[in-house]
Amino acid sequence: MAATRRFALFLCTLLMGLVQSAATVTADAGHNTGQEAATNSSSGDEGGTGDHGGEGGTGGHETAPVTTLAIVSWKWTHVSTPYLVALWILVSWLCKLIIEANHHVTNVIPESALLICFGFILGGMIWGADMVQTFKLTPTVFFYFLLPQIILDAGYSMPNKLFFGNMGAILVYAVIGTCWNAASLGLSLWGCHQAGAMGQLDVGLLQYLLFGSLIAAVDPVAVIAVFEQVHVNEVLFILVFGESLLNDGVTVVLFNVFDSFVSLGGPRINAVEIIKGIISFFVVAFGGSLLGLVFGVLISLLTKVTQNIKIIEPGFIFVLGYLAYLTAEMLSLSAILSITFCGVSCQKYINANMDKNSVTTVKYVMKVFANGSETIIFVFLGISAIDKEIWVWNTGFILLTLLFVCVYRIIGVFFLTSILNRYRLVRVEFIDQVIMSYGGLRGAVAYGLAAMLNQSKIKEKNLMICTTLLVVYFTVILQGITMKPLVNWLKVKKAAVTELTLIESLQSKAFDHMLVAIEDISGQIGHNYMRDKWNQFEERWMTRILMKKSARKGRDYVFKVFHQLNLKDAIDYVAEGERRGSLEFVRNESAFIDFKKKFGDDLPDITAGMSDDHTIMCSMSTIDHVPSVSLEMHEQNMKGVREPEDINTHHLLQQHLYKGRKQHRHRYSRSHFNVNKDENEVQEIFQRTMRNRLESFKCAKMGVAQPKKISKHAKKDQQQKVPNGESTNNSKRYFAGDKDFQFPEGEASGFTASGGSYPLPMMVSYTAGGGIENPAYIPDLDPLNAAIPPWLIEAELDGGPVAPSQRAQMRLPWTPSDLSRLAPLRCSTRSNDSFAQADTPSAQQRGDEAPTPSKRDGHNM
Amino acid sequence: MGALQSSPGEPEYVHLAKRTGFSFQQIGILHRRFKQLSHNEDTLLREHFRKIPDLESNPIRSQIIEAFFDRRNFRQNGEGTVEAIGFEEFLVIMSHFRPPSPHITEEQREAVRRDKLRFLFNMHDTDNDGTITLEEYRHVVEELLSLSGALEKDTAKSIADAAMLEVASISMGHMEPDEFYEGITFEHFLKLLNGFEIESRMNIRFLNMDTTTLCK
Repeated sequence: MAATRRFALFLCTLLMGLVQSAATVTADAGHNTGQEAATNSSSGDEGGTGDHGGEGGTGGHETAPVTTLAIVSWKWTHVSTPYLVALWILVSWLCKLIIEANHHVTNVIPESALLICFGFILGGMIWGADMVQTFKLTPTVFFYFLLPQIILDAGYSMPNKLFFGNMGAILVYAVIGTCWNAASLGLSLWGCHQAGAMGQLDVGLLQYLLFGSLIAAVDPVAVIAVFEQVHVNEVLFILVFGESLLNDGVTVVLFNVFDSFVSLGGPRINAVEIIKGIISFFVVAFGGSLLGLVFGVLISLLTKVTQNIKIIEPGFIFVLGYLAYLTAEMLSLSAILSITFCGVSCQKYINANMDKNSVTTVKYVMKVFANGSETIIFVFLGISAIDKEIWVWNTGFILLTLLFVCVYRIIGVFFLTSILNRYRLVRVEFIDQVIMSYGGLRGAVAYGLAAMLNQSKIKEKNLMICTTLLVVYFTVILQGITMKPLVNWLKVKKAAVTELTLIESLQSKAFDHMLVAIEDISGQIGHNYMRDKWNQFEERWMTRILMKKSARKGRDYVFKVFHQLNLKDAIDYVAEGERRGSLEFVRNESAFIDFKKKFGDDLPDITAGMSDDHTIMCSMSTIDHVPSVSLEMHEQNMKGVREPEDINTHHLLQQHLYKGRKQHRHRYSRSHFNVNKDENEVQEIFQRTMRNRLESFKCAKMGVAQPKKISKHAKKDQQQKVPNGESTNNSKRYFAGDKDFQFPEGEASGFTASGGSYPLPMMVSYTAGGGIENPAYIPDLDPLNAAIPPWLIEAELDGGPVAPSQRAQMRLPWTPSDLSRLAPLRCSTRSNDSFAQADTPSAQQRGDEAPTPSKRDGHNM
Repeated sequence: MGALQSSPGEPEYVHLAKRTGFSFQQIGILHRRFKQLSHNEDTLLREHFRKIPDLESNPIRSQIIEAFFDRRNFRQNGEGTVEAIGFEEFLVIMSHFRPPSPHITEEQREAVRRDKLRFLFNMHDTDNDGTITLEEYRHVVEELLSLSGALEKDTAKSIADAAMLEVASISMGHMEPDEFYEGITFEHFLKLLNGFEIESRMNIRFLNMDTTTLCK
């Protein structure tokens, strides 16, 4: 850890030096003054082509007369802009790396505060080198390149049910609360100004209101950063989070309205203009949201048809999301609201429509973008502070702003909550209100807006920027640091870390329906009623239009939980296997499923004469879309596992998991991920396994390095030798095919197991050869494998009705425990060894499950 | 409708209010609804419930209707079912969904919680033997999933089985090989839904129909 930290620190310093020297070069090389270079290189963060780069580039060409061929040449000016952008991103991220390496620090001080502090340091270094503020966060960069992905991510990962469930409250806080904050702050500051608390300032009422509107909004970036680490309960979180998201839209709208008022000038504002302002407020806000919804629908529709271009499928979400933002900006609608609702509305459908990998990609890339730009924002908030120009001190203005920001936030929250609580079923508790008012963190949006102010119209722009920055630092650093202790001290209800249980999700579903029913019966049109109606509407229309047909299936919530739990079990299962060094304990039930799936129609015939567990297995395996392997992992389960079965299972699994040495021969393709299974490979594996076998045979013959016999395997094989009366023709044929290969094996390993008494190829005689002790790695030596590579086996199995497990007939009808989740409840979940007990429930199961396979076959095939 | 509407303060209402904790206004509203549902009869029958149009699409409709005719929910230690319920019973059932008053002690909260969970439990425990057996639970899950056509009965069954198994492992911990898990008892039920804040969720605002809540 310490090493990582030191390394990161080193890298960071190094890069800082690089960035600086680069910047210096830029400043020197160009014909620009330092200040111009500053604006250029910082606006170069956009990733666009800063005009400076181009200019410098041509300049470079012109000034250097071509005398001889330069083998290499220094072309800094060509790349300066993108280069600086990349370097800055790298530096910011390295800051994060350093911060995250110290967990004991981040536990006390939130990451955002630390990043700002790092920004101070970096800014100081730049200042020390250049003596000017070279880089700072510009509104363009912030609003066009850093903010959208954060908001998109917030919208995309919004817990929809919670969000819309608390929509009313969120809207009240976001709209009324923000307006209240802006108005009260502006008016109070103006009042204080009139009273002479600030000395000489050239600020009028409108300017104060403008300032109030830009600083009114709680910032989503800062709020998420702080609240994520605190883990407050979900209602409180969604209130603060939702508010911060939506009020950004509101504050931008307010800002624009007041901005145009300021440009209009005091005297020309009459009632008509004010009414226009109010109308424009609603048009901008709702128009933006609507536009976002439209884009959300577009994305959903598009993902319906992208199944053939899986690789760039995830890209659509980002591009269209960004377009939603830009379009709203173009139409002067609220871009933030637009991209928020775009994310909120499309998440459900795209998650269902897209390929699973694409969904994962979207999720990760979204996080990379959002987290990355969040980091950059905070670092640059810090860097921006190191600028002599903006520091215009006015004690009255600054302190009063800080005071009013806090006080009005508290008043606003408490007042609005008291109204809301009359209507809310779940009241917002007093403590939650305290946290809400304390969580009014301001952030980069306010700074970005302040930086957008027009110097010519607002004389005190720098004072406003300076105050905004101070408010941001105060709230993010001070309140951010004290937030966690406060939450702990007040004993705020934390988010319950509940494990996903099936029973709870079932219950809550039943519960929702019950509430709706009671509302119906009592004739109320309540919240549940509305939600139910919406759900029905969505079910009937939205999903039909926006979701793929295949995706509509099986996206039931309960089922999803079920699926997830099964997946988790399976993963645990494999992890357990790896921990033990082999998958030996895997029971063959799970392995057979794969075979069964291929059988399809033949199944019922085969299984008719077979024992119950087969029937059960079939029925399980044929359930469409139901995860067929469901395994409950418990220590005691595995201890009781009987070994012969393990070996077979192990084999079967290995055959399926078996990868040729060159299976991952990389074929480059931009549009597909390939795993190639071509002829050569089959050949190669065949030869390889043959060679192995021959070697082991030789070894045995010569008496060199006698292959070890693992005693328990031998024992198992003895058990397996039970003659099988019902062996089908196919298995016989297999056996015959095997024979040539088998005799040396049998001889070599000293097993007597092979031969006529051992009819089923699947139940291969297990040879431990070549001194390999770990059974997981033996299968290469397996005679059957040698004869028929795995896929060929499958192919042949496909050809005719083969009883996959003869041994199953000898086995107990029900030897459960690993498929417990899927299996009908047995009376004793842990009775692995007590056969007698197991018999009873299995009989019952037969009754339950027997008819199912034939019924489902149609589906499956 | 409205013919039998009495003004608040009548002794009958006082009694009801005391028993169920509803305000007079709420009782008035519910009384009107009762009359509307029963077509001005004094008792409600199952058919009346079945005729509620909005209820038709509810997957667990039958269970909920049964809950109204279940004596266990009348808070009188009765058992079995009845054929018809009067207004008082109707109100008692509804009172299970009354939000608790904001200022209650921890014990009261626990009592409310138990009460509400008991209602849920009774809904699932159809044969009233104190346990939700596998059969009963399967039935619940089947009904729950009956609306989403994609999932078949067998899926429902396996989900129910899995849920039951989960219950067994949560509530019993380690089970001896020959132990048999009969079903969910009420105590287990309480334990299972520990994280489920039912006291704040199983609530409905019984107000006038036209004061549709704008904020929640």
